[in-house]
Amino acid sequence: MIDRSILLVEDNPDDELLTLSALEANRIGNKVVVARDGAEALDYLLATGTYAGRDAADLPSVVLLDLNLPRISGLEVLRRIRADAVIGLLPVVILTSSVEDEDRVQGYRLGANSYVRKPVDFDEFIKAAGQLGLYWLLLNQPPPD
Amino acid sequence: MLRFLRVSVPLLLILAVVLWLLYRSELKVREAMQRAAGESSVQLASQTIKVELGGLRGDLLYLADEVSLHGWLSSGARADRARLGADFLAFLQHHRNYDQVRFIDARGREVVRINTDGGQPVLVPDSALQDKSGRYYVNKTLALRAGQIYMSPFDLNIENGVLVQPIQPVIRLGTPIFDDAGRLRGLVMLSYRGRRILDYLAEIGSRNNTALWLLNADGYWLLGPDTATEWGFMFPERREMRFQRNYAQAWEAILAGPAQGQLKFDQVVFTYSKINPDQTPTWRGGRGWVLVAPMPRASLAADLALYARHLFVAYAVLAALLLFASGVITFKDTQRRRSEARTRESETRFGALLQAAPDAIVILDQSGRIKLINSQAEVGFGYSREELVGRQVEQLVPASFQEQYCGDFAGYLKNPVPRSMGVEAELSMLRKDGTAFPAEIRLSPLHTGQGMLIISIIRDISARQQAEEAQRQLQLRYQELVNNLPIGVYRNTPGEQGSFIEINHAMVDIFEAESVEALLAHSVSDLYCDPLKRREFSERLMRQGSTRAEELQLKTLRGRPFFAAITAVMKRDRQGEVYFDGIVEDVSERKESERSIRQLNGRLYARSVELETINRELEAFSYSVSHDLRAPLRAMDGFSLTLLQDYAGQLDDKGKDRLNRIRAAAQRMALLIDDLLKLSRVSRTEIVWTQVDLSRLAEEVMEELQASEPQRRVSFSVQQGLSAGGDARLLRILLANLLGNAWKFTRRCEEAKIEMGGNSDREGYIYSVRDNGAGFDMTYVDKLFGAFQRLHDNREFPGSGIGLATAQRVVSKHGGRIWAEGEVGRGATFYFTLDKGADL
Repeated sequence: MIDRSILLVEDNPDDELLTLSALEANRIGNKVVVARDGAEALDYLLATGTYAGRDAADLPSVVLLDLNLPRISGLEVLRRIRADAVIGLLPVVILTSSVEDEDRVQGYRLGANSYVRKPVDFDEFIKAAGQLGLYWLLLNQPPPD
Repeated sequence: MLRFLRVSVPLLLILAVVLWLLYRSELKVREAMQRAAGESSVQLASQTIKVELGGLRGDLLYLADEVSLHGWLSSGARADRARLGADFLAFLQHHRNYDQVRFIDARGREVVRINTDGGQPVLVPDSALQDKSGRYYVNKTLALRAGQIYMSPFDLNIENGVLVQPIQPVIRLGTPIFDDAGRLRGLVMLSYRGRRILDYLAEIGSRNNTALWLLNADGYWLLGPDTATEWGFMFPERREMRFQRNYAQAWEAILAGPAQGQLKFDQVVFTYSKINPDQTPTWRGGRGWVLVAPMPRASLAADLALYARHLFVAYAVLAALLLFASGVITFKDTQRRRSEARTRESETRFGALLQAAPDAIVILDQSGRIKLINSQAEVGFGYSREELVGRQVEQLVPASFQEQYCGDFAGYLKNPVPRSMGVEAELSMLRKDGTAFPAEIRLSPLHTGQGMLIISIIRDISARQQAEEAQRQLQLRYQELVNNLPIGVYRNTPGEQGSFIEINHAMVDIFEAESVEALLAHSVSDLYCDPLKRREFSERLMRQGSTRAEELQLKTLRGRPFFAAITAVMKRDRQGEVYFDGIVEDVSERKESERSIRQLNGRLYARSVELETINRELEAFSYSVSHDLRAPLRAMDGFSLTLLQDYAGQLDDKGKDRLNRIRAAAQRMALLIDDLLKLSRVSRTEIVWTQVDLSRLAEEVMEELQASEPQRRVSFSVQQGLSAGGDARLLRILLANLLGNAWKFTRRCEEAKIEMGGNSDREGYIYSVRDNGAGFDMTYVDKLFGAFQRLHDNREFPGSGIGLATAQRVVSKHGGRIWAEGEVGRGATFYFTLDKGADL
């Protein structure tokens, strides 16, 4: 289980680097797959498109999902995950700058497992990443395969 | 009905008794008459028998003394015998009551015999003469002395031993004949035709309307009720047919009784007479006869029944007459009683009417004396009945009216018909207490047995006059009200033209007329810009019954057009005529202002559409800010930290300081962005109205503040029961900002105090949050609620300068007002109101 990957869906390269740094700072060594938009994220999870041929059964422990994404928005990605029979139960944590009520309500309504705001203060971000890793990779029991 | 019975039943009873008595006396009379008839017929019959028998004897003795007989007896000559025969023949020719006359010699041989043959007496030739010697009647007669007469029993003729048919009742009389020498020479025998005496008796019986029977001493009928029962002793088969067989008791009584008498039995009454045909002094049976007149009671009863029937018919007729008479009597009586009752009732009714009349009634005689008053009069005039009756009516008339009244009354007596008194002049009457009241008097003659009386009905009309006055006042008030109204009020007639019936003064002004009359002179359609519209309006109103604020283009009499609103209803008067009542208002100005309002509204709508677009853009902007503005800040902070950590050795203190400044600036900007977002969120939030407990909300906010800085000691007091209608989340933001400020600015106080309170004011309820912190300079109070406006050093009291702007936004969204008072170093007080009307 400890070997299982994390899928980070993030279009902003700065945020991608910062997130990876924060995970690294917490010594989380799990493989982090980065998808740079919603479509890529879905292709990865469903083993379609550019990821066709990937072992579809190899799913990440958690998906860290930004909302403001090109092509397919984060909420739409979430909706499609939940609509799918195979990956419907995948833990999804929304990791975003937005604190809009509407986003939170929609996120939870579509079945997000957690909603975390990215703090501007990087110290805080590192703490948050550490707690996320600790919780979703170690503490949380994923659904059975 | 009862009365009818009371009259008719005794009369009928009396009639019945009278008729019954009549019946009884008739019964007696009839019985007496029957008896008398019986007696007289019996008497007459016995006299007749005596006379007849007397005659027989006379005849016989005459024949016995016949000269020719004695001549022949002396001579014995043939010629004398012939003469004798001729004499006897002549005798028989003149005496038809005899059948036969004979001379029989002393030896019993017939010498002369005259028979009756075919009604004619015939001298029987010598050859046909018979020898009758030995016959009982011959022997009996020959044994008699001269002048004595033998009389045979009354029986039927037998010739040559045979009963002659038809029967011939016969009585034979014989007498002995002595010659001059006194020697017995023979006898003369006369055969009497017994039918004759029986016919006499039958004749007498029928004359007297009674049956008459003749019986011999053995009780055999010689004359009876039926020829078949007569002569019983002559017929072997009739031997038993005797009177005593049928009437044994009567026979006994007759035999034992006197010579004459009457016997009463249940069925029959017998009047009888015992007769001695041979003139013996007493009746000893043997040769005696009995005359009987039987009077069956049945015939009497039949007679009486007939009589009774006649009586009954008479009774029926009389009873009917009596009943009719009773009916008439009863009817007359009832009518009389009714008429009496009616009179009584009418009197009672008159009395009751008099008392029940709502007006005072005084009845006078022709001299003006009061005869009778009713209780209304007692009440109205204040006198008791005793005080007025018998007094002059002038007592009730005020002095000023006396003369007029007397004149009127005298005039009335000349022409007494029901009419009012003093039609033109107002009359007044005087009460006992001296006050007068206006009255209406109606006079009416009352013809009574004691002459004419005058009924005067006096109505106190003061209440009516007051009511009329009140009505007039009321009418005036309404007229004034209608005339004072600044809108036109009218009543007009329907139709294409239409004419006004009533208008108020405002109508004159609205239609710029010279006067009410000037406007009334115009037809309604004259006031329409398009007269056709008047027709439409009238028809519509007739159809719908009413219109409400209908706008029409009318024109004044000067020709100025204007917009009018007409509200009208259709009504019908008592005759069913239709009219319109309505109000007219010049709404030109209103129409104008409506037009400009519509324009404004149009503009407003365009503006709001514009605003909505802006709002949407703003929302998109805020969203983008929240996401996109923060990412670079995060990069700045994150990479600065990376530099500080990963490249610490290559940076001097100055470099590290600059990186730390970059980080601080980035974080501050993030804070500013967050606060700006909050402000924009407040603006965008739709208020959800509920009743919010502000006291409780304030306590919760304070608890949160205390929890964020547990080491601080702040005295906090909240007035209990503060409550307001509003959006709970927004009000929480408001209190969080105000209390948060107070919390922040009391940081340096020794004894920090924060109070939340409120009290009523003209403006409504005013809430306040007071602290004893840093305060502010009132010079800059204007800037207090502007966004990003700060009055304090950020290092001393860090903040974005957006909190009060947000608070103001919340208050204004609730329709309230916020303001502040403060002094540097002495604290600040923030006041706010919320929309009073929104208080739930």
